[in-house]
Amino acid sequence: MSTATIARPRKSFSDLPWQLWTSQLAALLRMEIKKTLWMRRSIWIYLLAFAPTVMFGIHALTSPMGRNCSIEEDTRVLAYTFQIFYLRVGIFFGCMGLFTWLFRGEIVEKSLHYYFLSPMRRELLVAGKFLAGLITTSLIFSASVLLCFTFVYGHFGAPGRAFVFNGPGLGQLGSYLLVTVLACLGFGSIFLALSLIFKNPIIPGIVVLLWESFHAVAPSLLQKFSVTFYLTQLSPVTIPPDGLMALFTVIAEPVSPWLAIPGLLFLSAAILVFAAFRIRKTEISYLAD
Amino acid sequence: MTPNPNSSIIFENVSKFYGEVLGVNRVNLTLPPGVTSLVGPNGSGKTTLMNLVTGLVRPTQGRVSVLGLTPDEPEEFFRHVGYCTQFDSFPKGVTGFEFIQQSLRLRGVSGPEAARLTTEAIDRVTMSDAAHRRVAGYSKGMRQRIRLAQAIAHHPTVLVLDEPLNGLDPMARSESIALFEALGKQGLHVIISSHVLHEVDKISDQVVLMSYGYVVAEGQIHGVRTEVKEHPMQILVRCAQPGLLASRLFAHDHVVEAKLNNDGKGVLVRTKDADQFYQLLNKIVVEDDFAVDTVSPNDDDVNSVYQYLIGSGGGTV
Amino acid sequence: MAVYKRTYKAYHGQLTPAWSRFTVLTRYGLSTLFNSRPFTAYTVLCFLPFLIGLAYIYIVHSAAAQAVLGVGKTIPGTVNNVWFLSFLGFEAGMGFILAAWGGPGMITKDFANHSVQLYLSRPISRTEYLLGKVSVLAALLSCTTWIPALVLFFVKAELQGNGWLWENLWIAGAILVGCLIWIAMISLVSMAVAVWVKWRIAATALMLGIFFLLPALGAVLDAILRTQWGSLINFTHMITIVWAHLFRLKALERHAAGFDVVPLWAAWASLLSLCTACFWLLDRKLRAREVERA
Repeated sequence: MSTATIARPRKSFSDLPWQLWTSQLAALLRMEIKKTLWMRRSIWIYLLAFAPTVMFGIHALTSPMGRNCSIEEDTRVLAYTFQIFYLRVGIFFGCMGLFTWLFRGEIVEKSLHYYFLSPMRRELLVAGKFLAGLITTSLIFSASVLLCFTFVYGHFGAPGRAFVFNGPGLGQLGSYLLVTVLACLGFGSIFLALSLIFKNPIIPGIVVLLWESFHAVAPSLLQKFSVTFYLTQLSPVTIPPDGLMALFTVIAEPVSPWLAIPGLLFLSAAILVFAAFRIRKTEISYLAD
Repeated sequence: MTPNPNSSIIFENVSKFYGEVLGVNRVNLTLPPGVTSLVGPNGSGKTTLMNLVTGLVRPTQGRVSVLGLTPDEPEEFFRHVGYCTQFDSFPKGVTGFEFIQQSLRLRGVSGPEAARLTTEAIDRVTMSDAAHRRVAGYSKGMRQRIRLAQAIAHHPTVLVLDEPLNGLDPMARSESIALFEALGKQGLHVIISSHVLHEVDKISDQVVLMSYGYVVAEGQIHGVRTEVKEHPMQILVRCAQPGLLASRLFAHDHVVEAKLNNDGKGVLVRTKDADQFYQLLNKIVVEDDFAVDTVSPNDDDVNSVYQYLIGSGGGTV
Repeated sequence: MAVYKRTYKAYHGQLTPAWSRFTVLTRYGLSTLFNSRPFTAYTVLCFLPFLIGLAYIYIVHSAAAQAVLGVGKTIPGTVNNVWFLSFLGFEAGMGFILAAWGGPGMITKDFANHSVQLYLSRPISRTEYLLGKVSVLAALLSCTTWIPALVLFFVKAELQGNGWLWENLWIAGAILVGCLIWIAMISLVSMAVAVWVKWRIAATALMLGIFFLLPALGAVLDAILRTQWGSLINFTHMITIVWAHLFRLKALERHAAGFDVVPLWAAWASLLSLCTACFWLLDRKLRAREVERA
């Protein structure tokens, strides 16, 4: 048998096999995105993401031309929905389901060894799977947020268009989409790492949920280790503190967006580096899960 | 002769523990090219040894190198290694063709080339008719064959096969054995674990006998058999005057038993020293003008060695 | 040779009564759960509120203890229906984690090891199988909810005297009925999600989703559509509404705690719908065969 048909990677450190890595990453992304975006198992994420969209759709139908509501009120409701539902629940649970499944699912279905037996660096496998999960969740939740935004301002007619195109609307939309992608990035990295550490990452997931929900009561230094700490201050519309909700919306020591975005990226990168380090030591042992 | 590390699979004092459970212990092995059979009862450490070769598990102690490479350099290492594991599982929702093609794409093979190699591998395991059906609907034998195709699709130089004959019908079994033999003759390292001893015996260049995580014996089967001193070798001599031959042989110490065949045309000899026996037989044939039809070892195979070393409570060489 | 001609004989010895065989599953289920040290530790932790409650009731009724602790008459609150409702709410929360942790795994492990088919091919029916598994949760949750609550109730009655027991016997009834409804619901949900997704991690996540995600979705529905019916998918809230009525909370108290967002019948309907959905899932998915999609 010959091995002439396979591209032989070069070994020297200074001349890393970027071409091979790129083609492997592309193949992995194709496979994983197909799996995560179109599999029956992902239906619940669509339901989760688009449930508020359907509600805003019904609201738009039942209040044509802004009857029974105002732009200010709906802007507040959208901000509330985004911060309370999307950030703390929807994207959180969506990422928990999807990113946890990326590796744990392969272990449950006893198919992880096929990846481990391919001539692919395990770090690249982590990067590829993470990117696929990020693209999928970002696409689903961004589309959902975009549709919500369209329904919220669409049914006001001309005033709504004016708010979007001549007012703060487009800027807010940009911020919502940015925060959505950053949320997928932050939560995704956490759950990917948890799935490589714990056999049942849901129990530590509950701890993360509690931490992300109530980090506001922690000292300011510790707050910086929370994803929602950065996301809340990047959200374009502030929710007025009201009763218990203040716990989720008040920011004691805000940081500028120029620090918040790199801060979140740094936090996610650190978690991913840890995940890559962890998977290098992973051995195949498929026990009943 | 010192083995060339770039053409051998070498285990240097390798141990693997799963917590407190022993996988394999203090294994020192050098596997040259050709077909190597791993033989041993369930739980003897065969799969662990194969997982160690392919890097699916890491040694607790010691070092494994495959053609001078380790799994720490996956791009180079897995270009040479193909592993058909015992896990009867596949990624969800794929067809046999997609399964192999995806695996090749992950190896960096371009689309058209991956399709060509996939078709070639599927043809080799005679699965062309079912290639585009979903794996979930395959029979056990078909799943086994498609996994074998996936392991050989990238033309590896080291092929590790964990129970590759499981679930195969007699026809597929014989085709697979022929394939392993052909690959071994081409100079590949083919490592096979199997319980079907008489089948792997036919194609094995060397065997590794394992028991309770230890390598009990290794080498070419004849050499291993010769070393098992506590069980005298059985040699069947077909001749016209078996009674006379038996009486001549009995005069020598190394012959412990000579049993006449029921058909009266042969004698089954048990000897403690096969080399001396063959010299003695030559002498009798030449000096007494004795007519001998055939001489064949009767227990110089994997099955007998297995029985002597493992089946009968074990022993060491 | 025909089997009957051989010395082989089928077993004709004594058998345990058929009705009691489901308890084998319960026994093994409990034993498997308590093989996990973290689970055992958490179960022990679930008794902490009981011990605190016991100490509290004792201190409230013991002048000597108050003097030693230096709390005197400043010790807050009274042990009444609201106190027991709060106690149960706390225990139920801890019990939920217990059920989410241990419940789904009992069934998903059977699916992962293909042993559901084995169980159901023996003389054990689907109902008995479920009964065996549910009994594990029922036993665990009983030990951490209504049993300690009733012990506290009787301790209180003993220390209070003066006919307190007979005046407040309905609280004991409320504790028992309220907890049994809650245990039945949690156990059903736990079993149903396990047979549905057949993977422990996903089943645990789904349980969390039902009890944490749906309330958030309900709140969003309320906010967007300017209604209060979104609470119907907040099952924790619905059961609290039922409890509030069982524990005879006054209308003002119910309003202050938001226990009147939907009427009582709607809360019952919501809980019954959830249980019906669980029964439907169990009936559809718990089978002795599995179909692979080819």
